[in-house]
Amino acid sequence: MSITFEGVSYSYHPPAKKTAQTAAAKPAWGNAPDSVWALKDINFTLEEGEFFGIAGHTGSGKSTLIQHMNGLLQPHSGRVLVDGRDISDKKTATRARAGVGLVFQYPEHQLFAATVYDDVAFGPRNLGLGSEEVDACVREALASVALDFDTVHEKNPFELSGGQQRRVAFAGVLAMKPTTLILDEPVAGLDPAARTDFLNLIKNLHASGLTVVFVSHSMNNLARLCDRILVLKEGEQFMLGTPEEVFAQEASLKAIGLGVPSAQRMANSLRQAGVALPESFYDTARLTHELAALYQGHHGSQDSQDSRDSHDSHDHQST
Amino acid sequence: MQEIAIFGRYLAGTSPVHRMDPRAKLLLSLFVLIVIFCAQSFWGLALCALFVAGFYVIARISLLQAFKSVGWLFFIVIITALFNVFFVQGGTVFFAWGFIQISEAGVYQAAFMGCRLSLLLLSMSLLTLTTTSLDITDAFEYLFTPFTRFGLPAHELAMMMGIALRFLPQFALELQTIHRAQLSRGANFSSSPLKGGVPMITSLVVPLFTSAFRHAETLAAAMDSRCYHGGTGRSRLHPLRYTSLDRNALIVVVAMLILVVASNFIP
Ligand SMILES: Nc1ncnc2c1ncn2[C@@H]1O[C@H](COP(=O)(O)OP(=O)(O)OP(=O)(O)O)[C@@H](O)[C@H]1O
Ligand SMILES: [Mg+2]
Repeated sequence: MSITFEGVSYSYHPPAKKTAQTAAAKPAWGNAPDSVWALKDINFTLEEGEFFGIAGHTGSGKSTLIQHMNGLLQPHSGRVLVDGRDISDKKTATRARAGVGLVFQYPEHQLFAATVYDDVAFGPRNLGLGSEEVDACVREALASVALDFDTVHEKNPFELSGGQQRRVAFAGVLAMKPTTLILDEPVAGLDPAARTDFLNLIKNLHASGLTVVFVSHSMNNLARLCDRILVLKEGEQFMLGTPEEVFAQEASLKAIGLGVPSAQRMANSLRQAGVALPESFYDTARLTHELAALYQGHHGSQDSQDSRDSHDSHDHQST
Repeated sequence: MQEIAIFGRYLAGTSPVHRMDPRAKLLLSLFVLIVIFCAQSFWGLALCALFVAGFYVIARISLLQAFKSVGWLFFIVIITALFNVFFVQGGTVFFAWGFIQISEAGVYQAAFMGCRLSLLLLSMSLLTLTTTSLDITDAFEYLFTPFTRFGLPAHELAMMMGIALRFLPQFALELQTIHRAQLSRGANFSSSPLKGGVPMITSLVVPLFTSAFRHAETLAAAMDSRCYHGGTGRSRLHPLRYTSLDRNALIVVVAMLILVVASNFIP
């Protein structure tokens, strides 16, 4: 399903009197604790099948934004449309909730059942499925998060490791067979190996046809995975575009406390040091290829000045 | 569940009421409660209302904010008033239907109790509106210190109270998040409790409890690593001191007591 935001604004302290919207001292980034709007005039459309990233500094409104996507929060002005229908309608909201799987920050903190099985089955049971269908959903969901059904399904979720708990919580959402999966900082607090596993898992889920919304602080992950990225600043839409478009603007990202992916940062420093890099956006693979090509090219021509440059660049790469 | 109102959430300020010594404020609010109980007629209550309103003016807190802070506790007021309307009988009967009967004494009593309870709530919430929970627990600790001689762990009790107060809003927020997370998993909290009610409630309560334990463990470790060892031999960064403000407040409250008691003799 497609989800459209039309001029959405949201406030945790709804301005009873509209005059309260005085310009308080602006923080360098994030939101001032007493600022009125947690979201302000957000406009975009989440297309079906897309991998959509949301970035922004702490307190910029990312978690608030995604809670609009299944009607947990209703905008104070503007509209959220699901397949063209307003989500403020109860029926649309219910439908959206069944189609949109929302995984909160630290989802393992929401585990509650006595066994892994019961926890994962909570969602399907709420959908009113029969016990056989529920069983099928649970098996499939546990398999898709790479947990072995036979070893874990009778365990108490609190006996599992943190990473495993998160997988169970994940499975709990996947078991509802959503078509859109929204992930709030899904890899926060995991060790590097678990993080890689998880990112691959998410990539596979997307490849299997799910629309994915991915909230993250890590620009590397966003650059690697996303089709489009929305950058929020103090609740406002700061940038929206492909990783190429967004990460080309390193300076403005820095100004709101965000970085660019390491490959891009290196490409930018190399360009400043005088290496001729033609394209505006580089991921690790492309940068490696480009540099390797440059290096070989210069060795062929034996141009002393340029070869010093490419030696420089290899130094950079090894550091 | 959108906004969780918390009774008397502290409103920062620099008014004389804010600057009073928390011990004096605590004792005087208890005193004001007693004064309100002393009022036996609407005259007395009107006087109390005047004084309480005056305190709010001095504290520079609008009445609207005051009523908001009491919030759903007014429920108690309404329930009490209803009880009185139906159960206190006497005087002219206004309305009778079967065994339900509303009479003059009942209405009078309901109005009286309603006003009295509202005043009590408002004056208590003035304390929490103008005093941080840290200051209140500090005041408790000071006031209970004399009883340590009889084995009362004043410092520990105050510390526990402070921690509990500190974590209330935190848990309210976490409960909200958990509630939303389970809603996104199709939980239906509005359906009848007979139909899948127990898993619905455990899906909220169990995560809340585990989070409480998690917080408790982290907090204990953090206190340990800062060498916390209870109250013995602890010095204070900001020792509490009574000032002329507290003396003036005492005079005002004593005046209030005298006036209210006097008003009881108005025929
Ligand atoms: N339940 C709430 N009640 C009141 N204000 C809130 C609540 N949740 C968030 N806010 C405020 O709304 C703003 C946006 O918060 P939000 O949680 O959406 O940020 P975020 O981008 O997800 O941050 P983070 O990266 O830390 O998760 C913040 O200023 C925050 O203080
Ligand atoms: Mg967040």
